[in-house]
Amino acid sequence: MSRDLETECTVFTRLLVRGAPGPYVMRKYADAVTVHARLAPRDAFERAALALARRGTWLARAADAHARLFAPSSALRKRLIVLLAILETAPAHHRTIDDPGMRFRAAAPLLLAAAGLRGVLALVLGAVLLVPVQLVARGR
Amino acid sequence: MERVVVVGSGASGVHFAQTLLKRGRPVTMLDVGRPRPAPVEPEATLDGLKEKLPDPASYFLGDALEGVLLPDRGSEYYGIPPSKGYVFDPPPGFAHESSGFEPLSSFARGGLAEVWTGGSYPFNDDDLRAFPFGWTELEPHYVEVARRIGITGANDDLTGFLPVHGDLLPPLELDEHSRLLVDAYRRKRDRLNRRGFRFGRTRVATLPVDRDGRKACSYLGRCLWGCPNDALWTPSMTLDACRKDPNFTYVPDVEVLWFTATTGGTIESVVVRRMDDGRRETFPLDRLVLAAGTLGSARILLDSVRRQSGTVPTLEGLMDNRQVLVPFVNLRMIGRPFRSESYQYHQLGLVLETADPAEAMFGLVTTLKTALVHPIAQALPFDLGTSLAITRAMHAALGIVNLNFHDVRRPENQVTLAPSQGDGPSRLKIRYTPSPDEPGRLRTGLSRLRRALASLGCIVPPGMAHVRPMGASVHYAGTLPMARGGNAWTTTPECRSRMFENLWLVDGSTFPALPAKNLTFTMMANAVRVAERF
Repeated sequence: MSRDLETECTVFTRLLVRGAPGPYVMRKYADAVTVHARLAPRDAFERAALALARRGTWLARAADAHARLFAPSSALRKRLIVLLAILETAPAHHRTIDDPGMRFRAAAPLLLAAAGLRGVLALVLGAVLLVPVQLVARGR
Repeated sequence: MERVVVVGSGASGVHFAQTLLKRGRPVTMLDVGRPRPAPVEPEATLDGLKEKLPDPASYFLGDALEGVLLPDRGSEYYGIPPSKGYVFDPPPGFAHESSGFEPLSSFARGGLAEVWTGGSYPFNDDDLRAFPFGWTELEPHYVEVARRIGITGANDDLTGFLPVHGDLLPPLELDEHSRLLVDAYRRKRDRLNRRGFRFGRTRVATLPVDRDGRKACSYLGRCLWGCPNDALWTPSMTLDACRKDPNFTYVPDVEVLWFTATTGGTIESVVVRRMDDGRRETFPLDRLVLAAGTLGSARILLDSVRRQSGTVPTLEGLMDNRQVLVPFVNLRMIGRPFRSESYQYHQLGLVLETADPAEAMFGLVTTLKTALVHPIAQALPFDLGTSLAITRAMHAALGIVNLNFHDVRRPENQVTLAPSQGDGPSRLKIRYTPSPDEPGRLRTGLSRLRRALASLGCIVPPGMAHVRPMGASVHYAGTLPMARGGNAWTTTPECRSRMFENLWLVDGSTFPALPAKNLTFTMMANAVRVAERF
């Protein structure tokens, strides 16, 4: 497995479940990305978005927030979805995904609002970083 | 001895065969019949399966992860799990052309109902208005099917829409979310009823108690991936029962291509293609019963007529239920944990009444528990990390209504054959155009549903309702309707062809109307009715 792919899987797993992927998830993810052509970046923008996302969870969040609205079928978005699908069936992670993640139900509205705010901030950061790249790459 | 040949092992074919066998008559069934794989770890719960399997992702998502729903694969909230993929595996060379319709065909042992959710809804007199018989005539046959397969339900506010028949078993245990919905409805029942909204238990072919050697539902939470202990009835179980009868001959691995008939309209034989070597073979017969599904039976009939007459006829009046998937969030359930060890398919249903009762809308309410979350999380307008956090918090609160709309026979909705190459198998050509008033009906239905759900404490997130393409419900019907009188492209009230004197059709082909209900239970009851008059 390439170093990039290993880093990518590690960062994305941390983003999704705040944990480490483990060998099973790492292997399934690498197999999926290697075998499926539709998970490969199609242009310079998609390569740049993936490279940015590998740098850390906040940059991955920002790049994906941008992709969700402006490049929903991009390689970054698809790879994150494939990884989430693997994680939700994997022994070490499915219970995390099935857990509501809230100790105090009364605080649910506040916690959901905070999550939404975090999503908006990620989108702003993603747009600042990736809109110029997207314009340049797709204007060529 | 009279040679009766039944084509197809789906829900109606197996009940037709079983009824004849009980009367001591021999039956030969021809079927492609792709077998169901053996269930894995049948005693394990869903979570147990994730822990026990050496490669759980392959089981839940497929070896090539084909079960992952990616953004470019439409807007469905769940797909057919890989373990059920065999149901749609076509024989070599099978193809169709379609416009405005996305047909699904099955060549599995047991047919399409191998992947059904067990919804068993009797038609009432309003639904049967266009049929040459009413509820009173059909009711004993519903009872017979209910006795054979086991159907749960309750006498509640849906009874006007879903008449109560004999041999109805008590309903399954409700999960917490469903209980909250029922409680909310009880509190506002009078007001909601005045607005034409009714709510209650659906009818499902899943056993709540052990019966006839089958085990009761053990709430393993694996419904979506295939019930491992056969508590949920599928046609292959009745097929297995038929195969124990010495009068029954099951011929799998053959695809029926066409039949040959005399110029006087008497069918003499069917021509089949063997799946193993492609060789053709002829089965002589005295009576032919098509139970290959509306589209499968149409293909066999059309190709037979084409070969006999040199012209390609067109069948009119194809019907299907338009379905709209409407996700909702129950505000009282946000942040709560959920139990995956519970029944996963719909247990509750709702009816939106209309001025003409035959046009009522019927919604199946499924509270989401063990459905995969990646299709839901990706639909939210945030990055996937944020969307997952929100989905986790709301998982127990999520539900989905599958709102069904009725259909009527219209001449513009047609099934015919595309020109075939040489002597090869023919291809169906399907054309469907929704009725002009459909957009208005959908808008009204969705608006009424939103208001009703709001009264139950649920919100429908804007922009997330998904209108499924025609063909997705797989409730196909109407191409050769039964009628007291009619032309050659109709059948008698006993579902006997008016063109070929020894041909019967016992699938959805003969339905002259399609209410907003899964037609499978009525197809089975009708097949029993026809077999008793055969």
